[in-house]
Amino acid sequence: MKISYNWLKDYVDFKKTPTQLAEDLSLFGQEVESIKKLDDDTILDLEITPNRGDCLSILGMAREISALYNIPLKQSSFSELSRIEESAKIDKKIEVKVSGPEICPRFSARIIDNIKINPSPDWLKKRLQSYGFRSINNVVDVTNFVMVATGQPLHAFDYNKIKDGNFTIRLSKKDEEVITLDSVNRKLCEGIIIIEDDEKIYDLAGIMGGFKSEVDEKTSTIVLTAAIFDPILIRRASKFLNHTTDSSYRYERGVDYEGNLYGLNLAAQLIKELIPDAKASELIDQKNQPFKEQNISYDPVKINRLLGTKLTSEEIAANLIRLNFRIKDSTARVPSYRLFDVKIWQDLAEEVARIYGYNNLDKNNLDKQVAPRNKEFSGTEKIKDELAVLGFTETLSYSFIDKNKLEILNLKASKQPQIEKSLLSEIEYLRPNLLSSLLSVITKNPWAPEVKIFEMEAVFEKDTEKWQLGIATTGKSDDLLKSALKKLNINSMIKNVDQKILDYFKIRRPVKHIIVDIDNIELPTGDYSLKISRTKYKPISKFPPTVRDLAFLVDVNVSSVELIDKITRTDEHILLVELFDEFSSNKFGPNKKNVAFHIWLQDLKNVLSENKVTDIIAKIIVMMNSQYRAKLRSK
Amino acid sequence: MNGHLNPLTQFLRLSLKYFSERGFEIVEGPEIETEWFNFDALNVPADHPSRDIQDTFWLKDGRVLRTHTTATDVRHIQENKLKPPFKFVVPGRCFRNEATDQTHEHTFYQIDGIDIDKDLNMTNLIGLLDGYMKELFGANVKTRVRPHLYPFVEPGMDLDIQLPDGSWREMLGSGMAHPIVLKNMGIDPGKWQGIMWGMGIDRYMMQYFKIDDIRLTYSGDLRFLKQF
Repeated sequence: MKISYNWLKDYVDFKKTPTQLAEDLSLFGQEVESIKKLDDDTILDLEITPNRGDCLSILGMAREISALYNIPLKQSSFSELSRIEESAKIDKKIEVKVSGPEICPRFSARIIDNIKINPSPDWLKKRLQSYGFRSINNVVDVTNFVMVATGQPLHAFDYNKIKDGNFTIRLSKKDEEVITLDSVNRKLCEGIIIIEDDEKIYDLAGIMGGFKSEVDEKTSTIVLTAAIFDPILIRRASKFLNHTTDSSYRYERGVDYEGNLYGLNLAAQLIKELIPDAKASELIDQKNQPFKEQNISYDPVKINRLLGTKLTSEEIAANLIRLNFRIKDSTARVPSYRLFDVKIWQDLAEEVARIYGYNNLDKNNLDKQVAPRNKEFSGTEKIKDELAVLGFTETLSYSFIDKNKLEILNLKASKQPQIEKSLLSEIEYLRPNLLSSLLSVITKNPWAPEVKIFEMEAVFEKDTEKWQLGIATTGKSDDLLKSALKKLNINSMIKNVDQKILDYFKIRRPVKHIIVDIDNIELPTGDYSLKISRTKYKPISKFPPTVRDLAFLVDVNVSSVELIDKITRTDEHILLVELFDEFSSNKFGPNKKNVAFHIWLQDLKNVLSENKVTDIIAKIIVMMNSQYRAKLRSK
Repeated sequence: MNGHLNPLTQFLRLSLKYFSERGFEIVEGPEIETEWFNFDALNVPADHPSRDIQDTFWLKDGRVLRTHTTATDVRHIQENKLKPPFKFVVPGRCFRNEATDQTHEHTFYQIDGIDIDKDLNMTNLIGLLDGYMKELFGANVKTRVRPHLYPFVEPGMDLDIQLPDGSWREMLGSGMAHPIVLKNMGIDPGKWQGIMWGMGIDRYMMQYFKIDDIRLTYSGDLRFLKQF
């Protein structure tokens, strides 16, 4: 929510810059996501958590600032306004009927005559702009202004468009319809709060006004209304209609019953300022449900025990009082605007901690202690280590699969758990086994000289879920997979992938795989490795790499790890260097070994030209020659 | 000629090590969850805006792809009839119904932790998590905490670390176990107090390795995987 720094100052006088304010608010629990200058003002964009509907207004945030800095609100800006000046006698009236008190606990209104619809003055447009509202006309703008200022959503109806001033508030029946202000005809389900007269439904209460009661340039009398509606009904309606407004957003989170009249009267007063001839009627205030005060008893000992503090009862009370709680004998009366989120003593503890300052709390770490061992976890992690030692790379793939892939793999979509209302076709079903994932990885790496991968993840069918190990290699040889089977003591078949499937996945070489459920593997014992790679990620290019092989004869004692490092540093276009062969033989001469590398080259801005590749390879050969007396072996 | 473990796996192990050294058992749970364990048991009722915080993948059969490994907490306690004191961590894959881009993914990994004991309090929680950050990022890293809403804890908080450029990066969500959640675990909130926290591993891993795109972990791109 966008909050204007200048607008806040109308409600509370604090001496902090926008940046300081933002920092302090974030530490107080009101996260400021961005700060932007707007002419002579600064706009703070806040992330308000769903439990703090009371913060969805300037007044609400001013209260937070008041508690944070221990500065009182400006009295002149916040007063009851229970009697606005000169409420006139108007011979127009409305009749408010509510089908159930819990639907609309409070409904207040003023009828205002002599309305002249005009553009708004600049100061009002500016305030609206700071929040993100467009200016519409003086009356609508006042209602939006007051909603943002006070948190009370308001709506102005054209009095003459309503038959007999009839405000019947009830729940909709299935398939009833209403045309809203945006000219959309909305079909309702049952249970949505609507307002009607005996001719038509003219308001989607709490969400959006109706087209048929809309204020327009000819409107001469309005009914200015401020209501409290049931949060759950508003939320359900908003979800059903797939329509959220600034108004419904506030209702869902709870609007302050006791703040209702302030909002209404502030709006009436502003309209009178903008339209001097306007006459506002007496206050109509229908309390369908009384205000229910909430008191929470607390035990200072328990609060200290929860927070890890040593606060006295007085200190705890003082902290709560700063937030407008009224304290009497370890019982806190919750301010009316906090009813929706402060319900138990632990909520009070959080408020105490906020004022105390979370960062003033001590740090008392737990002692070291031996943990019971999860043999399954250790065993599966050890399998990963054993495969890595054999030269496999662990991949992780999404758990989803689409219908086409299921078909090509000869699997039934009907057996697979299916996602409701998915936005993407790739995200429709959960995968039944790891084959499609492994193949997708191979598709992605056509330039890799060989692909040796494994995945260990969950797979799904109907309502079962199990862990599976999938291992795959490209190329004609079985050997590596055979060594995997042997090392892990797995009794499973090596399978070849059908040409038809390879074609679908655009894979142009043979693929062999092993897929086995974890339950069918005897888990190895022992600890898994805690080594973490020390490399910093080198960004990979949008363009495909070029891979060249180089083989050298070097002294037996030269470390291949060192060679990899040295070669990589030869040129910035070298992304990776992989050792794929290393062996000594007398035919190389005494104390010599053969080392062979895949050199992966890339350019971040383009595909590398053949010339450039040749140059880099030459550089490597020169370096190897001069530093290691390495002889290039031609393939 | 060694192969490679996914950098995520490497990080998961390192993160778990810190908690294992403090007595936390490693527990795993299912990726498809019931609405009860993923939401209701954790004080996230239907018809409440808190449900909006997490965009969820719902299955046609009414189950849910778990949005956090916190879902396993109540399940594990219930299925094993655990009685306090106990502590465990839950690593695992989670899902959020979000459009993917450089910093957003629909698939990610979390570690969730819980410790229930007689006199655990917020200073223990802050100490534990501050120590965790120092283990991962070095003893000189500065941390700070801020109040935040998570329906299953009260008080709730976020923990940030300070980056080299001075800005703060959010790393963990945490708090004191909410009494409703304790009751759903069959635990008396009058006697026992719990600390709970959760951390997305992907973000931490990206921070450590200077990876700029969260999708790389699941891309299967060997140019990425072979670097680690």
